[in-house]
Parts: sequence; C-alpha cells; structure tokens
Amino acid sequence: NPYTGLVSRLRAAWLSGKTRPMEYRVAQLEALGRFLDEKKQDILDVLASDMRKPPFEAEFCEILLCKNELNDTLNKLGTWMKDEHVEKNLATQLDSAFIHKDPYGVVLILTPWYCPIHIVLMPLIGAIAAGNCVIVKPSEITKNTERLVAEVLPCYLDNDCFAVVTAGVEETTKLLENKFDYIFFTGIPSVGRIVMTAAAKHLTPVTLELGGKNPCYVSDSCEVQNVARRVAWGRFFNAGQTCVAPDYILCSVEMQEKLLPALHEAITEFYGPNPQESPDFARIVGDKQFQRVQALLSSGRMAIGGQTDEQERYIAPTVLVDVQPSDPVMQEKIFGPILPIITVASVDEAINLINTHERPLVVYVFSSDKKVMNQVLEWTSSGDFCGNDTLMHVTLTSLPFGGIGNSGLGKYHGKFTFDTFTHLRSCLHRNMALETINTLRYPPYSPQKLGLVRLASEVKRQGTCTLL
Amino acid sequence: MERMKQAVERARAAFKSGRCRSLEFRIRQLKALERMVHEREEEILAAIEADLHKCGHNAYSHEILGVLGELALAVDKLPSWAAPQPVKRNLLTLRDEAYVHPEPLGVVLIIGAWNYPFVLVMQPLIGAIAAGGDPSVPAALGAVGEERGGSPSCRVCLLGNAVVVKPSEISEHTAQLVADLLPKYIDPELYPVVTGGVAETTELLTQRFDHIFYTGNSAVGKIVMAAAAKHLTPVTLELGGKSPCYIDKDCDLAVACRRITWGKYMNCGQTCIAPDYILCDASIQDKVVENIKTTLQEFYGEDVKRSPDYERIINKRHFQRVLALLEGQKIAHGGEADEASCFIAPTILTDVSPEAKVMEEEIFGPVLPIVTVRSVDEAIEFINRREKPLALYVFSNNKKLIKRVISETSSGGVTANDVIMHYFLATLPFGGVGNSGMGAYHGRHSFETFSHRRACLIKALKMEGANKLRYPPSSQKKVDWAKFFLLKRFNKGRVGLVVLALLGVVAAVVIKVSLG
Repeated sequence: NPYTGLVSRLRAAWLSGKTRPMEYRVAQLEALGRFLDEKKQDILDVLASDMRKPPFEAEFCEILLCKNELNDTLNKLGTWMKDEHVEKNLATQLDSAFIHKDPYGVVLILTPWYCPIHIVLMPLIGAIAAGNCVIVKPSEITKNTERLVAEVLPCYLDNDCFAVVTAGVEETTKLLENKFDYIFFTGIPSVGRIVMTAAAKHLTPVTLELGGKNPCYVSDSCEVQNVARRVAWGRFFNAGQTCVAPDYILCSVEMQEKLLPALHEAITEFYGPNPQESPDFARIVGDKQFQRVQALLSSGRMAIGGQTDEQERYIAPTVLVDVQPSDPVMQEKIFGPILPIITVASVDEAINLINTHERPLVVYVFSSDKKVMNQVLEWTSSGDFCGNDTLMHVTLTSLPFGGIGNSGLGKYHGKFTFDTFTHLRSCLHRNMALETINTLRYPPYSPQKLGLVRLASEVKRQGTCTLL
Repeated sequence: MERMKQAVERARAAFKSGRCRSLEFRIRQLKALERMVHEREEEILAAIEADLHKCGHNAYSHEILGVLGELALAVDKLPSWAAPQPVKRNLLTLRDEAYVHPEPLGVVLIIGAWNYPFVLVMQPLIGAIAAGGDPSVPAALGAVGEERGGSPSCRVCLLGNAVVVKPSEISEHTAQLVADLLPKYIDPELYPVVTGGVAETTELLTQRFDHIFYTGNSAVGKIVMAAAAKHLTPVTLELGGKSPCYIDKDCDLAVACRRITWGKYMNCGQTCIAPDYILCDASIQDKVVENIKTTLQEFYGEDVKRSPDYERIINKRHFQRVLALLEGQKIAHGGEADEASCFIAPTILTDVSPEAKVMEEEIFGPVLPIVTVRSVDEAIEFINRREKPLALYVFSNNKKLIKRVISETSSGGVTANDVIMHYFLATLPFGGVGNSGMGAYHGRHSFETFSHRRACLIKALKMEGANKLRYPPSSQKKVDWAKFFLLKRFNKGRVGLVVLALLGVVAAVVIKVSLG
C-alpha cells in the first residue's frame, strides 16, 4: 500500500508527543493564518480558474470564514485544552474528577470540490488544535486548487506531522485501507457509505458531512422582496454549488405569483440583465456536472432563466414552476443554479412533502408568523434550521453544524470542531486514604452491608448515584 | 426473521404516530421503569444469579443501584436537558435567535451484553427514552406552547425515540426476564424487546436504524459498524480491551492491592473495565502477589468455591477459553478449575512474557498476569504499543507521575489509585477509544448520545440594509464591511451587548446610506 509508510511516519510523530504542547499547536495555527494572508491572491486566482468563483464569494467563504474559525480557536485554545472538572457525587467528594482532552492520533480529512479551501481548512484548524497529526486529501476535481494546497500548504506546516496527499478515486480507496484514528469526510452520501465501511474495518470514528435536498418553505405572511433576495442569494451563490443552498421552494399558488417577479428583480439586481456577463456569477465546476445539471432543466416549465453555454459551463440563474414531486429535478440534490417551485395548499402539506424525502442538511422557512416557523421546526427533521434567511447559520461558530440520517453524522465549527477531533477521556483520581469506607463494597457480604448500601443510595435519590 | 423486520417496522410506525412526543409521556415511561425495578427486584436478582452465580448483594450494587440512579437523574433533569440551549451570537446575528434544539434521532437499536445483562440494557434504554426535545418550551419567541399537530396529515413525531432492545442471548435468564417485564411497564410498540442469537441479530442489523448502541467485543463491533455504514447510521460502540494497571513502587501496596483484587475478581473477572494485567517493577512483584493473596483470603475465605460471593464463568466455551490462557504460565496463586460448575479460582500469574497468549486477548476471567517493567517510561511505551484500552489504572503517591501517565497514553477512561470507579460517576462520559470503542454515555451523556443537536438560527425579515453588503454586485467596500462584521470578537457581557446593538444599528444605517 503506497500510503502505509506515510501513515506510520505520522503515527510515530504523534506518539513522540510532538503535537501535544499548546505552543506547538498555536505555532501551526498561526502558520495557517499566514498562509491565508500571504497566499490570498493565489487562492482567489485558483478558485477563479477552477470554477470562476466570484472574488467576493471566494473571499467571504474561503478566507473570511476560515480566519474567523482560526481566530476563535486561537483565542480559546487554552480553555478548550484544559481538563474539565465535573460535578462529583458523595462517594467521590475527596477525589479529583475531570475530563482530559486526548488527541485521537492520525486524522484523515477528505474534502470535496465546491468550497475547496474552506472545507480543507475548517476541519484542519480543529484537528491541529486538538493535537492530532493530519493527512489532508483535497479534491482532484478542482485541479488548480488541489495543486496549490499540495504544493504550498506543506510549506507552512510541520511536515513531520502534517501531509497533503493528492489522489483520485483508486488511490483514495488505497488510502482508506490504512488505519486512521479519525476520518472527516465531506461529500455525497454514496461515498460517505464507502468511507464509513472502510472505517468500520479499523473501528475508526467518523464525521460525515453529506447533503440532501434542503427545502425552503415560504409562507404567505412575509415581505416578498426581502425573501426573494435572500433566497436568490443562497441559491445562486457559487452557481448553486453549496451544500447548504436552498434546493427547492414550497409555497402557495398566491405566493408563487408574488415571488416570481420578486425573484426576477433580485436576480437582475445581483447579476444584471445578462448574468453570463456578470463577474459575480460562478460556473459549473466540470463537464460531467454540467451535463447532469443541464438535464434537470427539462422538469416543469422555465419561468426565469434557462440559458446555458456548454463551452463556459454556464447555466443561467433559473427558476422552474409547475414542478411535480415526481419530476427528475426533485429526485436528486440539484447542486446547480436551478430553483424549482412546488405549490402546496398549506403548511401541513409542505411538511408532509418535506418528510417524504431523506432528512436534509438544513430546512429553511420564511415567515413573519412565529407559529408557522415553530410548526415546521417541530414537525420536520434536518441537520440544522434557519428561519428567514439562507446560508447564514454557517457563519455563527457557536452553532454546531452538521447533518442527520442521509445528510450526515457529527457536528463541527468553532469548539465543536475541536471536540470532534478530541477523545473526551474520563479521569477519576482517587484518594488512597479512607479505605475503611471502601469496605462496604468488599466481600464477604452480609445483609447489614447491603442495608447500608441501600440506605446510602436512598438518601441520595435526588439525582446522584452513590455506589461506595 | 420476519419477526425482526416487523418489530422494527412497528416501532417506526409508533414513532411516527406522535405517541412519544411529549416530555410528560417520556417521564411517565421512566417512572414506570423505576416501578418495575422496585416491584420486580427479587425476580431481577434471581435471573442474574441464575446466569452468573451472582449473589444478591453484588447483583444489587452492580446492576440495580446504577439503574435506579440513572432513572432518578433522568427524571429530575430531563426538563432542563430537553430545553433549547441559546448560544453566543456575533455582530451579524445580534438581533436574531440562535440556539441548539435537542431532537430525537428516530428508531434506535440497543444490543446488550451478557456480563452485566440488566444494567447494560437498561442504562442505554433510559437515555434513549429520555432523549429529544420539549414541545411545551416555545422554540421561538412569541410562539405559544400549544398542542401542535392537530392536523391528521402531520405524521411525523419528533420529540422522542422508539427503541428496539436486544438483550444478549448468552445471559438467557435475564434476557427472558427483560422480554417479559418491559412490555408490562412501558409502551410495547415503541420499545419492543427482541430475543435471539447471532442469526436474529444479523437479520436485525440489515434493517435501517437511526442509531445503534452496541456493547460487546471489538470483532462484533466491526460487524455492527459495517452494517450501520450501509444506512449511514451513527453508532456507539462500548467494546473492550486489555486495561493495564501500573503499580508504582511509591504507593501504599496493601490498599492498592485490595482495590485491584476487588475490581479484578468481581463478576469472576468478566467486567469490561476490570484491570486486565499488572505492570510493575520486578522488586515489588512478590509483595503484590502476597497482598493480593491476603485480600483474597479476606474476601472469599479459605475455600473460594464455597464462598457465596464469588461468581462463575458464564458458560463452557468461555470457561475453556480462559483456562487455555494458563498453559505454560507460572501460576503464583490459584489455577484450580471445575468444568461442571464453570468455576475458575482467582489466579495470579507472574513473570509473564509480553508475547504470551494471555497477553494477546482481553482475558475476561479471574486470571491476573503480572508483567515486570523497569520504569514508568517502559510501562508507558508498553501500553502505547498496544491497542487503546477501555480503562487505564495507575497507582502512585506521586501526582506528577499520574499526570504524566495520563498525558502520554490514551484510553477510554482512567481511574488513578483505584479501579472501576470512574464508571460510577454519572457526570463523567463513559466509553472507549480506538479498538475499545467510540461514543460515550451515562447521565446527561446518554441523553446526548440519543439526541440530535439541531442548530437553529431565526432571523428577522427586516433589517435588510445590513444584508446588502453580501449581495452582488460586489465591491471592495462591501468586502471591507464584511470583514468588519465577521472578524470582530464580541464576548464582553451585557454592557458590551448594548454597545454592540448600537454599533449594529449605526452600521446598518451607514451601509444603507453608502450603498443605497
């Protein structure tokens, strides 16, 4: 196996204790900060050449959000690393009880192509902060970004403990045969299954950030123009290639009448009369993906957009109406700049429709009526929930980000990333004295001993267990 | 096999019917379990005795006490665990609601083990029933806590799990008792018990669950995780390993050995966190043996076989497996065995080689090998060369040494200067790492294992001005504003929040004007 040597080398580095001191981790994280600062233009350039990512989107998503996470982590690392003391019960009053933060060891991060720097750095920051050695595998689909990460990132990090591996499907399969202590995967559910199956062979814990069809319910009570702008922004950001983009709209026939012109206005506001000429609208990442998304245009009827240009891999910001739940555009995650609208008679019908699909990464609701908001929240299930906006829950690092069911398992961002890559190790440091109290637990047993044990436990019925 | 499929389908239908939705319902189920444990105590103790030759005192303190404690804790704390948890906001989200909303996972599978057959099914079950949210707490401001879901078309209940329980068939008396008792006290459709062996469990694992909780050995743990992977089902695996016990020269040997003897030979060594083997300096090996022998005498008397307080090996297969580990070893104490009653005496082996068979697999029996090491460095290296264990024990008066052992090794959990005891503190998450497992439970950690943390951000539909800076067409000015909003850290308390709010309003106005 071509990677066994690399994995062993990193494991030896981890066992040597090199990544344990806080100073070491801080130094590596600060180096990542320098990477983002010094190579900012290079990053924007490769993102532009790989998928014509607009500079604002690139800077927002791939640089600013990562710097946010970095700063947050550097500010709080000392606190996060400390032993966390826990409440004790009667039997352990004189002991020290705490949770010690152990790194896992050698961690593998597998990243997708749609936010290629962001999804490398966000988990990497937490993995380093938690004291692990890390192997990163950037996506082979965004070739220029892959090259930048493989050639430049190692110049900033300690190569004893961190490595970047470039690999296609076959090599990744070989990579996954090795034993890792944690695997962090972002991508599609079918590959998520493959990764988890490979992880099972070594009992490796995983976080899987997958995807789904994120529904967007627009109720009748809302400010249509604001809704249209927020939905359009979320849908057409990165030409629809965002795991948290609103995938389809559910609304009443009346609301659809109002939404369509509002969406049209928002799209024109954002990208001008011909979005193909706007520097702020991205392209589909590759030919295969372009074909797939283009085929979805035949569902329903095109109310807005629909133009395509194969050479540029351009698909115009498009809104489809008269879409049926059985149409192709409703059978798979769209991951492109197409927004189907499905009309429903009531919020109940919307909820039912949402629940016929696999649980998505996020459910969106637009309503000025809190009751409606709550109803959709309580009667649907998803990784996360965002009311009256799109994408923005991702920017608040105090919220745990991640899916459920088919949209994934595990959570990260902020402290949750640090916790993802940390084994929370329970420690009880007991007193050698007071051995007489322990005699209650030792044989030979007698009814009296049992009576005392029961008595002690009955007194403490208010929540704590007192086994002596 | 159809039986498995049907049980799961019924549980899923029951989950969707909305029966388990309210907090009161779940608390009622937990209180019913409490009643069950009190009313049926005799039967439970009898079943455990039949399975493991375990006396009432032991069965009560090992299995019943823990369950009662967890039930009391869950009933007491559930309202606070289930309530939405607000989170710190940033400048961009200052006027919004941001919180974590606990929700159930759906249909959960719990597979129990045979060594503590009652508590290892009950403790996860308590967490699985408790898990989820509370509809009576308004999730969003202004929403009244009324009965939602009046419409018959809303089919999905999201406030509690359904649980399929599969006790271990090896502890057959307790398995049968659990199958008989649970349906009499808690909702039988939401919480069905399925019994069976390997074939039935394999069939069960082909079904789709929303979480699988397995207690057992690593080999089967891999099978469970591979089956779960087909459905992207998250798992908690409570496995095992060889839990090392390092005895430093600088410690009170008499006390240390008494504690070790208790933890090692309880349940005839069949405890996942029993100290599996000892590491110590050669110069204290004999003293360690003497102390343990003395303690064994104190605990079980002259004739261990006649002590009512000493258990038996669960069955013939394990009896033969454990006995085989003694081959070729230096037996310093014990070694007597009787196949008819699956009795193996408390045994100590000395000068054991690291390559011996007894050092390869988890012993799970009353055999205690001692491996000599020359220093704590050697002990740490020895431990790190092997799979990460479920528990690690170290005895020393030297606090620094203990700290060092903890920070230079890894294990599920640690007890220093005692054994087993970290298991009994519910505020400590109990679980393994690496080959000894993944995930944790006990107390609130059980609740969290079986709940989904759904992040919620509810913004206002107004204040669109601030949003303008993120919309195309882009400009350098917009980028600079974005940096300002995103990269500032604000954790400065109430006064800070007021200043922040003012800043936010000013910023919104300025942006509206400058980009208007």
